[in-house]
Amino acid sequence: MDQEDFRALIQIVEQELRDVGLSEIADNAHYLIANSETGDVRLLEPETHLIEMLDAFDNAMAIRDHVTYEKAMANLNQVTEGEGPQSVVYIPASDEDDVNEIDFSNAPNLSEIREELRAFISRRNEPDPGSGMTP
Amino acid sequence: MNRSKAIQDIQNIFARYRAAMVGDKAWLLALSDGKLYELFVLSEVLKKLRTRGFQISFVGTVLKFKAGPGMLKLCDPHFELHHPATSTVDWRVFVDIEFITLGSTHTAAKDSSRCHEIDIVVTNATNGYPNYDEIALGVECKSTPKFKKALLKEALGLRRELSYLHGPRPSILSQAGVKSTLVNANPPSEYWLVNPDAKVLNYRQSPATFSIELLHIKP
Repeated sequence: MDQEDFRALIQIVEQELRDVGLSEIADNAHYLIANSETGDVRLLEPETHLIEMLDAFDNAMAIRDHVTYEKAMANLNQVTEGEGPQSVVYIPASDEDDVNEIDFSNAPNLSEIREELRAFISRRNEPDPGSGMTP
Repeated sequence: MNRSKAIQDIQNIFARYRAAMVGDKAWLLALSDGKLYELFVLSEVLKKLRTRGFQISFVGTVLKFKAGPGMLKLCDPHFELHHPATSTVDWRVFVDIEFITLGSTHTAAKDSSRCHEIDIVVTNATNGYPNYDEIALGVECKSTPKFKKALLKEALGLRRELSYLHGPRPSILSQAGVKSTLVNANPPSEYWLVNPDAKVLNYRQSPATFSIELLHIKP
């Protein structure tokens, strides 16, 4: 793929990020680079811009992933003498006395999607099998 | 890979993400607020404290994170740090705690500036809002997927409310623990800012003057 392809992909990823409520990641302000001599600021070149945006999407998934919960619980049980926490809950803000606690173990499993994303990033420059051409 | 295959792959990834993120709104809000990240960072902080020689125990059965910060109560679930030499419990680890700021002790402030929140605190206080000089370690867990300078500016402000700039001296925890850590702070508390974006490490050098340690922790 060439830089025009990467520009097209950036636009699609930006739209997808906005659609899933992660518009902050799409903000161009995160993908600027300053020339150290002139101080002029410009956007990263398209391929790097795309990869950084996808890495940030992976960060967003990492902080929501059930596997993160499992790793944290394993760490806690490993470091504590005796019994560690049996479970972890979140108490949302409420104007009522009775609040439904939310069990962290119910976090969605995003590990396969994260693997797919990482595979996409590493495959991006593989030759296109249909074209018989270099990427 | 060609452009159309790449577009298809990306759209599939986002479609799967959308399908996985259907659920309780309060829970999705908690995830967006970084509470799961806070749990993960807590577990990493405890691992680091363990390598410094502290033995760690948990008090309670269920660890609880709250939407809003508050005061410290010994009856709330927390972790205890046992002194490496004496096994006494001098320090406890709580989450989502507000502390009384350094500035407010000079002005007897009663307004909303009197207290600031820290996500994870190691403190010798046992009740109420800990004073700034009762904090041995404060950890800010910033879960934003892209690190931005505004987070650092916020941390600089919070550091100001924890301690004065001072010549290097052993931190409070290293006075008890095995590993020595020097800080430029009085009281000699440690203060860490944590983010999952590796770019956080590009901002380390100037805040190190004030003993703000920037850490990249990604689950």
